[in-house]
Amino acid sequence: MRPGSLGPLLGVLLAGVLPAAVAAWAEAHDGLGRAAAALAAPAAAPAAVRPAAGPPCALALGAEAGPGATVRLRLEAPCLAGQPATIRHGALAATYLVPASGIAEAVFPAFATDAAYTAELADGRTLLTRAAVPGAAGYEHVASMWSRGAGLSVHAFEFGAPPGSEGHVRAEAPRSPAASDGGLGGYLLALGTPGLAGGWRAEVYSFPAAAARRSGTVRIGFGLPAGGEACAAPVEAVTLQLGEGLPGAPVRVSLPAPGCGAAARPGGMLKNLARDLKIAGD
Amino acid sequence: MRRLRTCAAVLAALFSAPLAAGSAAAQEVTLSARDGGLTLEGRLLGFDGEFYRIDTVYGELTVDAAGVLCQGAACPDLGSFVAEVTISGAAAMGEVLMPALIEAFAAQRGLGVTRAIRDALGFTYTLTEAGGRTLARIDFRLTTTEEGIADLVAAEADLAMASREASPAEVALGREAGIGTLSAPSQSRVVAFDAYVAAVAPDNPAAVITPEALARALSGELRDWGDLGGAAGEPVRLHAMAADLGVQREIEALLLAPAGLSLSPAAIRHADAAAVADAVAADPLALGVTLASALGGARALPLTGGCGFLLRPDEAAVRSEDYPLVAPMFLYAPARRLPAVARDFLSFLATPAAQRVIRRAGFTDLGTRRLPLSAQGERLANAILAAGGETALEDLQGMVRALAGAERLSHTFRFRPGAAGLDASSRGSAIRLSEAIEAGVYDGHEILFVGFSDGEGSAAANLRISRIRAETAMAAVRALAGAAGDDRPALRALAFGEALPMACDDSDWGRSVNRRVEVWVRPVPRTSRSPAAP
Repeated sequence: MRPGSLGPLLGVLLAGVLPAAVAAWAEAHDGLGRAAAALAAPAAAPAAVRPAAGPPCALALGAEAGPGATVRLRLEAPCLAGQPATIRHGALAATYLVPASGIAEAVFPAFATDAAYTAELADGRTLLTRAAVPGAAGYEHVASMWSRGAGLSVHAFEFGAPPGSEGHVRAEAPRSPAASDGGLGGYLLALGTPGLAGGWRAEVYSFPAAAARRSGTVRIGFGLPAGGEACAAPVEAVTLQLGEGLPGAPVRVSLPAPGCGAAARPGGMLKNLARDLKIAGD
Repeated sequence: MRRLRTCAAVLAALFSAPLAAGSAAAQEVTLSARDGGLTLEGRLLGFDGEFYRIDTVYGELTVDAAGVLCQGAACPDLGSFVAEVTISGAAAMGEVLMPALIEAFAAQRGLGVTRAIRDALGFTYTLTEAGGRTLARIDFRLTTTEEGIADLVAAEADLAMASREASPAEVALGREAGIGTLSAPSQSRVVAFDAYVAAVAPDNPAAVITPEALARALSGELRDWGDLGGAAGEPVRLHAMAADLGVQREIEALLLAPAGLSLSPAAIRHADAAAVADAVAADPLALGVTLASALGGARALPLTGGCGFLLRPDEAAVRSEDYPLVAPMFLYAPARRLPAVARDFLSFLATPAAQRVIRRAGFTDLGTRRLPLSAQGERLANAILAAGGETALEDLQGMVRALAGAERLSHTFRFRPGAAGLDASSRGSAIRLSEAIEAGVYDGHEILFVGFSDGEGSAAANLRISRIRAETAMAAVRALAGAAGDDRPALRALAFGEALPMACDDSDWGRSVNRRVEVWVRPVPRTSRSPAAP
């Protein structure tokens, strides 16, 4: 293995190939520790669960490759309706509320062609599924995750696009994964159910670097919370960037409260937390 | 009572001016040798996880912690030592390049990384081991090269980030303050290269610019694109960085000050180099000087001179500093011992993994590249155009024969006007080349140190000075590379004076690009190791 290519390996480890190693690594990085610890716990194979009252229910986690190197995940946990479930892929995590139907769906990016996803359920069990995503190797990703406060939002300014324009990809203007198949731009996925106490939310920008049909730079910014209650709270997030020449390891980021009132800079942008994407297209 | 007996094993004596430290009484400690042979009392100045620094009646001493017991309230807990490293200086280096390298260094060692952002000018990295123990806190202060070196001199930083070589005055201040000789190779290292580039929008028709015209445009003297090879009658809209940014000051010192000019007040100011590039890229009438690492969608104009030669800020030309506006990114260290994690980080900077990180961050790395003669058509064309006068056809033919089958390495040595001593970047080149020779990279090759001069003065004198410089560069590398084995490369010095100019000789910058020693390598067949081998 080349030195410096630990990142992709870590991604694979976290995806559940070697649960013990995952646990050891993730325990040390406590923000990511819980699911990995659950992974390494005595085997909890997808199986019938008998809740305290009511009929037994089947647990299942399905994965299906979608456009733009995404994976559509379907979690069936009818007896855990109303409970949170955290889906993890590599170092990426997002928590969803299982709705009354018992079926939660989410679209995730794929960081590897053999992509593994886990769902960590409220009863302590962890489900594992995999999907083959042949196009995943050609994508670069920039992600932000947070489990309290407003976190950091991800902004991509494609090929010199000014703020608010068509090429400014962000949660408010995310594009669809299918749009990236043309190789002209990326898309953003906002993951996780808002408002879950302690739950992970994430934003991931993905660009089809290998299939790009345009050359230039995609500048990356991380947006500070704008207004609201967030102004008085320190910001904590985990950033992650995957791509050629990058270590691919998560970085925990903290910064003082953006501030409220006259001194506040609502909507401020942190520009240097991730590397700009240098795109060499055909 | 203070006693000192002979116990050289525990003493790595490093006498220098005591550093200021707070609350003297609280810092008093007693160090006793484990074999009972030595007791030292004094004020604890620091602990790096391996060594105590203590101010005693004998001066400042550095004592190996493994050999002594520490008694006193100020004694650190050896098991929970956290290395504290402060890195201060040029924002151009600290904003993107250094964080990328710290994060890659941590990832390679399986360390967890937390980045606590203080404000726009500072952040702290905390590196944690797999067991959760905090290994190091690395504090960054982003200011300017001057302030970084001042912090190093004042012992307020452990490493200084500099986007230029330390000035003789700064080196002298450092020596007075007891932090050693900043210009010494052991205390300075080039981490990467950036370059200042004249940026225009992709659809701006201007093709090249001379440094003189660039300076006059930046000053507001040339206001029409027609004067700059663009659309006549269209105004030049200037963009620049904020006046207090170190990069902006260095651009003005490099381009404007020598011509006695200053930046036009009409220039639109931006927060950083990327913002200048983005603004320029969006406006076909815009012109700005920015950093190559931040160029984004803007286009860099090649520099030219009166003779028409082009110098492009591409990777090869920046690495060899053939492009004249290169900004080498230096790290300066004090003469004292740094914590182990800081030393490990400095070693990491020379690895291939670090070079990949440097490239990904948009900078030019230090990796050695080879360029065959056949890929240097533009240079040869320049040489043919410049021939005549004192350079005859036979001179060019001789040069091409001498370099046949050889490849130019990116290591290039440059000299100040009239001087024979290497500059700081060149010393770094000499060290990297000698390390490659010692590692056997060039076994079975010959290495040619090929001296060239500018065209000022007589051809004979230029041939002489270019030979002296080639021999100087060769001697520097030979001294560093140590004893040579049988299969080690033969080193030879060649000189061609003014025969192969890279830039026009009609300006100071052009002449300084031309005064150089290039390094070429050529495999030597085992059977014929004679110097005349083709």
